[in-house]
Amino acid sequence: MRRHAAVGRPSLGAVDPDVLFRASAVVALLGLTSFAWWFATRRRGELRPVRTRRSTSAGRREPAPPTLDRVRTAVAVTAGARATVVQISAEYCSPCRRSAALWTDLVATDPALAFVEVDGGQHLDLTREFGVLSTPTSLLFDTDGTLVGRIGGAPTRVQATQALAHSANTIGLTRPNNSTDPNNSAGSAGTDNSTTTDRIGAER
Amino acid sequence: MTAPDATGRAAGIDPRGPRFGAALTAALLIATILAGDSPAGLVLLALVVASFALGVARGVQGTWQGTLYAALIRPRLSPPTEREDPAPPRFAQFVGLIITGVGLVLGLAGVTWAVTVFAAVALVAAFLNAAFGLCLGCQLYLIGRRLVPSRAA
Repeated sequence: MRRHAAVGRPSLGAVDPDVLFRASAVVALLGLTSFAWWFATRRRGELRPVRTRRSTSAGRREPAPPTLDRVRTAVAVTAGARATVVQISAEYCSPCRRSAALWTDLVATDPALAFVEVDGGQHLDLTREFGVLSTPTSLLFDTDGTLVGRIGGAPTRVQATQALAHSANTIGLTRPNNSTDPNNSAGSAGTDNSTTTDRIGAER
Repeated sequence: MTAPDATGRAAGIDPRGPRFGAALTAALLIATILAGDSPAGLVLLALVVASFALGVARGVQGTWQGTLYAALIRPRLSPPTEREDPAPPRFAQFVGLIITGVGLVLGLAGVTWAVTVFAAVALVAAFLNAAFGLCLGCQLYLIGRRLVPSRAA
C-alpha cells in the first residue's frame, strides 16, 4: 500500500492516512499482545518455591501460606508419604486436562506420591486463599502438608519430575527417613522412596 | 472426592481446529478494524458475530471455520496427537459473541468508536488463541467467578 502510494504521488495521499494509522495500531497491538504472552508464560510449568518461614514466624505481618489441611477441609485428600500435588482446575480449561493426566501418570509410578484435582470454580475459597489466578495451578505439598511450591500452567514431564525431585530434596534435609508416616503403609513407602529418589536423580 | 469433576470427559475434538478458526476470525477482525467507521466495518463485524453465534449453537467444529478446517487443512495434517474437550472452545465462542455483539450493537446505535475498540479486544483473544493456543475467555472464567461472589458477600 505504502509503495503504491509513493509511486502514485510524492505524498501518501493515495492511501487513507486513517487506514495507515489503523494498520500500525493493529501491528502494535499484536506486538504488545505477544510480549504480554511471553512475559506471562516465561515461567510456565516451572516450580516456583515458596519461601519457608517456619523459623522466622516472629514479627511478620504476612501470614504463612495455607497448608494441605486447608485443602482437606474442602476435599478429601489422601496425602502422599513423600509429596502431594493439588491441582486447581477450572471448568473451561484444556491444559488442565493435560496437566492432570500427567500428574496422574507420575503418581501411578510411585505410591509415595499423591495427586488430587480440585475444581476451582466449585471451591472458590481455596482459589482465593492460595491466590490462584490462572488454571491449572499445581500446589506441591511436602510430607508435613506444608506448601513447598507452585506450578502455573501445564508442566512438561521433565518439569513435573524436577518439581517432585525438588520436594524430595527439601524433605531429605528436614526428614531423612519418613518411612514412619502413619498415613501410608510404612515399609513400602520407605523402599519406594529411595528407589524413586535414585530414579529422579539419574534423570537430572 | 471432587477429583473426577474436571477430568474423565469423553474424547474430544482436534485442538488444531479451533486455533485455525481463530486465525480466520482474527483476519476478519483485522479487516473490521481497517474498515473503521465505514458500513463495511459493521458488515464485517456482523459476520464475526454470526460466526460466534454459530459456534455457541453448534460448537466450534460446527462453524464455517470448522468446516473449512475439516475440508481443507485436516486432510493434509497427521492425525492429532491429543484431543480436546469441546466445552472450553465453545465457551470461548460465547465470550467472543458477547464482546463482538456489544461492539456491533453499539456500532449500529451510532457509537462509531465501539466497532474498532470491541473488534480490537476480540482480536487480542483470537490472536492469542491462534498463535499460542491460549483460551483467554477460559482463563478469565475463574477470575470472574472469584470476583463476583466476593463483591456480593
